Amino acid sequence: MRILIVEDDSKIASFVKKGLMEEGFAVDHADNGEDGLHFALSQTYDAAVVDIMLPKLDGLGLIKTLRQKGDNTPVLILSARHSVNDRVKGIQTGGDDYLVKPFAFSELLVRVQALIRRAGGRSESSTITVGDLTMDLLKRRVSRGDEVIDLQPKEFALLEYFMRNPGITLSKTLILEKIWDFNFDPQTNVVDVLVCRLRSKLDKDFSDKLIKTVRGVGYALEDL
Amino acid sequence: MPLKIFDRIAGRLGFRLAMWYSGLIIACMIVLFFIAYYFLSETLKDRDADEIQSELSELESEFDKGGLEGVKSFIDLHLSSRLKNLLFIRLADTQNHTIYLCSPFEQGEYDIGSLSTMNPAHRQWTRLKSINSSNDLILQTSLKEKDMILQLGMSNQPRKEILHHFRELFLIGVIPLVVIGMIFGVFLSTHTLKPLRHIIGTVGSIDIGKMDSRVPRTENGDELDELARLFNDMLDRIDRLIRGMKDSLDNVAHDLRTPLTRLRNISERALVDLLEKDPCREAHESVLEESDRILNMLDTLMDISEAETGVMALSKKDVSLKNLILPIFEMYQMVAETRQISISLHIPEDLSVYADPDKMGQIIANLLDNAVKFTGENGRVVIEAEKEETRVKISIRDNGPGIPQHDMDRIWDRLYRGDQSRSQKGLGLGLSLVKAIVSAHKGTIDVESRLGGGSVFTLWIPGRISPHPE
Repeated sequence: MRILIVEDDSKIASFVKKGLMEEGFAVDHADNGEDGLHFALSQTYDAAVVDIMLPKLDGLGLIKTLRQKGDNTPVLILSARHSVNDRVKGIQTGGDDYLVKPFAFSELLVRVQALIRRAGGRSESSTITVGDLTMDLLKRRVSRGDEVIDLQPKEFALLEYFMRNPGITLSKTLILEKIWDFNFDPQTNVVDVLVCRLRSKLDKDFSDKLIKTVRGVGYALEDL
Repeated sequence: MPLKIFDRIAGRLGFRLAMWYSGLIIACMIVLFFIAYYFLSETLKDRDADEIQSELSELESEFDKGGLEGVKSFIDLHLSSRLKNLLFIRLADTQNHTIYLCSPFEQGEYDIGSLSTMNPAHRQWTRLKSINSSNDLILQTSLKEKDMILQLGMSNQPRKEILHHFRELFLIGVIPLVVIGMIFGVFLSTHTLKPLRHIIGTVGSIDIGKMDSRVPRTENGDELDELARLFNDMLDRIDRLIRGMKDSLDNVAHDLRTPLTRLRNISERALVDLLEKDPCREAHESVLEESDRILNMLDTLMDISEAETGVMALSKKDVSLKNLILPIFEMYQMVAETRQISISLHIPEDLSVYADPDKMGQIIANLLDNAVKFTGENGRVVIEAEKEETRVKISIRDNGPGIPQHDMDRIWDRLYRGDQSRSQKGLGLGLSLVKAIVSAHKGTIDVESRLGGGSVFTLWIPGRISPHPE
């Protein structure tokens, strides 16, 4: 898996690069739009992470040119602008997903992996298994060991999200977006409440806790 | 519909101006006509009287020279040609018995006989009304010393005919003149006021988000062109200000986010490398949490500034209120359940608002969040909505502790936190954001609260009942 990062801030770029390399990706980095475009056109990448504010050629210009030349590499836009309009503009230009700075690395990772999965068009199997947890997506049924766990729709959706990204910390923003399709942050932590409920149902009769809180980042399902 | 168009045209300044001017001109013409008519009629009357008098004097002198016979031959000889058809002459004796009568009138047109019964005086004017028409016979009497009565008169018909023609001429001439004047006046005023309408059109199309239209100039240097120029200059300045404001907001956001990203990254990296039991972990975790808090505050403050200054881009559309609120309601239902708060929703299916769905959802979430946050166990939160004229009224009611009177005025202020609020997690920006977004939607928000009696937040948002909202 090869990923292109186009980001002019060297510290942020090296942080992302290092993180992605640890996850087993091969990473190329360009620090301006023109070089980024040159890289993207001369090589095949599985995904690209592109900042909007770039010297020489800005991120949106890069994506536009890329799409005009028929290149369909999935692009994750990085931006310092958080308004919904900027997000819409980014997606309309040809970006596939949008991430606002500052971001948790795990969130970037989840989004990049989702982009690659979507581009690959791999069909998802109807059952997912993580450790002793099994989820049957067709029958909407979850069991831990031999015990069937009764979940409400939102709890089911959250668990499915965790099970599709085992071991990865999912930020509150990601969960809000995935489960409720909300782009804003409510003050009361609705996510905490949902995770708490899910946790109580999953761990009720078991001694080992499956869902771990990662302070300042989010929650992760232990990949046993 | 034609009435409406007429109303619109009649309401225009140009039209009204033309009408006022035409009215003034008509009034002036009528006054002028009356003056001219008066003078004409007086002149004609004087001329007739002069003529009667001069003919009577001539008749008198003829009578002096040749007596009755002289008069008769004078009439036959001199007056036959021109005046015989017009002049009425009567000669009578002392008993006022008619001796001689020369009348151009038909039999029975005037009651000539009545002249015999009158008691005539010298140089007396007599007006005899016609029996079958509106004409008068005006005559003067002369008493001669030889006890002879001489009467000479003339009908006022020719004079009236002239005046009648004069009136006709006035009407025929004036009506088209007034109509032409009116049309020309409307055209002229419409043309003159065109720059003003351009200004109105431009002002109407101006919005904070769309500042690029300008008033077209006529370049002829008159007052209206000057106004257009000044207006365009003003628009340029406003445009520059708004652009500057937007740019500085963007720059602040960018300049704060980049170091914040670095800060977050450093702590995240450190956490990956640190051992599970390392005492530094907690410090790094706090850094992450606080950076999220700063970010949250930055985003909210930016949103408030954008909404308050009007640069917030709202993608408004007709949205079903129920579809908009239901997911948020369900989200908080879960939170409420955990806190043992009962929460209910009463929204008619057909109610829709004209609003930006994301922003609207955000303010509903904020208000619901507050209600759930401050209402204790076994509390109750109710969301209701109803149509109120052209607006939709949404109220969020709780039976929580209420807001103390001294906090009521300040709850909308940025970063203000009441006593109860201080113990809760939050930024003190929620209600400021709600108010700013509601105002950006041209809506209003109000709060009613009693200490110990719960609070009701009520907002009015422009909307309409539509059977099939988006």
